[in-house]
Amino acid sequence: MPIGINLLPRRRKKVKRWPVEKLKAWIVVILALYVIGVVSLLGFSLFTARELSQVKAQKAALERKIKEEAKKETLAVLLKDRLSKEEKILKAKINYKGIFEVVNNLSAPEVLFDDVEIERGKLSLSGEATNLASLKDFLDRINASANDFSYAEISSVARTKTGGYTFSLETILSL
Amino acid sequence: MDKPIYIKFAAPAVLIVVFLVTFFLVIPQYNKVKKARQSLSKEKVKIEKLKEKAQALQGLNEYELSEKAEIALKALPAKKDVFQAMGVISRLARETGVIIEKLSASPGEISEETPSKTTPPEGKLAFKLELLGTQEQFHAFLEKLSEFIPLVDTKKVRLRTSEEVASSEFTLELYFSPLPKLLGKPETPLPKLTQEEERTFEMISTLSYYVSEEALAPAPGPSGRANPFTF
Repeated sequence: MPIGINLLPRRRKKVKRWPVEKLKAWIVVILALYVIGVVSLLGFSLFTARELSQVKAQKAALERKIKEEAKKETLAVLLKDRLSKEEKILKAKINYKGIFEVVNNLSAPEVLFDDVEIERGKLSLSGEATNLASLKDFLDRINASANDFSYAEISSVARTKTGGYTFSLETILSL
Repeated sequence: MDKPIYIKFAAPAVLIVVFLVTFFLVIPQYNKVKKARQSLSKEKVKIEKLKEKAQALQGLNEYELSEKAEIALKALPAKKDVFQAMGVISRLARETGVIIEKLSASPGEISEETPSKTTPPEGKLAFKLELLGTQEQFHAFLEKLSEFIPLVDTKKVRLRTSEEVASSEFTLELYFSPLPKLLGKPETPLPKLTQEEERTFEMISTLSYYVSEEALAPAPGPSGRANPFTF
């Protein structure tokens, strides 16, 4: 039975070694680069410090300039504050004149009001109607006027001795 | 041939020097530069803002600004002035011909300006008013109320025509607001008015400002005895 032994001469692998001189040269190069790096870092540090002091001086000068104009700034801040609040107040205001005009336009000669109250977006009307049909007609007109009133309801109605009807009506304003 | 002793120790010495320089000079210096650059970029951003603000401030007309601020402050005063407001209401009533049957106010706290954190952004001074007159006069009164500053809001209106003379009840609210915290950091941008705010100013600048005559007139001295224990 054959045995797998190779008796042929083989070449020995040569271990490549760096020559000492070459190694020294590389170390010197690396050291030189390191020194250059350190010097550059120091230089950059100095440059940054100088730039920073220049920027700070510029900032201080600008701040001084702004401080000199402090009165203008105070007035601008005050004006902005007042006007933004006034804008909100004016927006929230109810147009009473418009409401009264709308109610007058919707009413008929057969429906008279003796008490009109507007509070927190609610309109309450009390009055007298000559007949039920005109009162119903008035209520229908209010409910149809969706731009001005969102919901209307008769809260009380009673017949009077004269044959008319006293009523109370409430509606939510959408004006 | 033996090498000289300094050659033997050269490599470890260089290594030690490199180690020391790296840890005691390079790393701290690198961190310092890094921080300085960050600070520099922040400062540059601030400078841009400051430049913009300085330019904006230079473009403002102090006189015009002062006039505008005065009108805006009249429309929304910093403090509640119950006497001035009552005087104005009386004047409006006189101008529209209505008769004041009752006028009451609850000024509340004595403090007029309390710039604390708990202070609401704006305050209201409520008035209750009962008037006698015709419907047209009441409408005119309501209309006049919206034509003057300080700003007044009508919270409740009640018109009664059942009696011989028509009467009305009003709940009015006069606004006031403490002054804002003035001036923030220098780099805080200058507030700019929006179009709505410009329109609001246009609107309020057309409104009248009444100096209450009652508030200015000398009071007719109190009646009664100076010393209640003497006859």
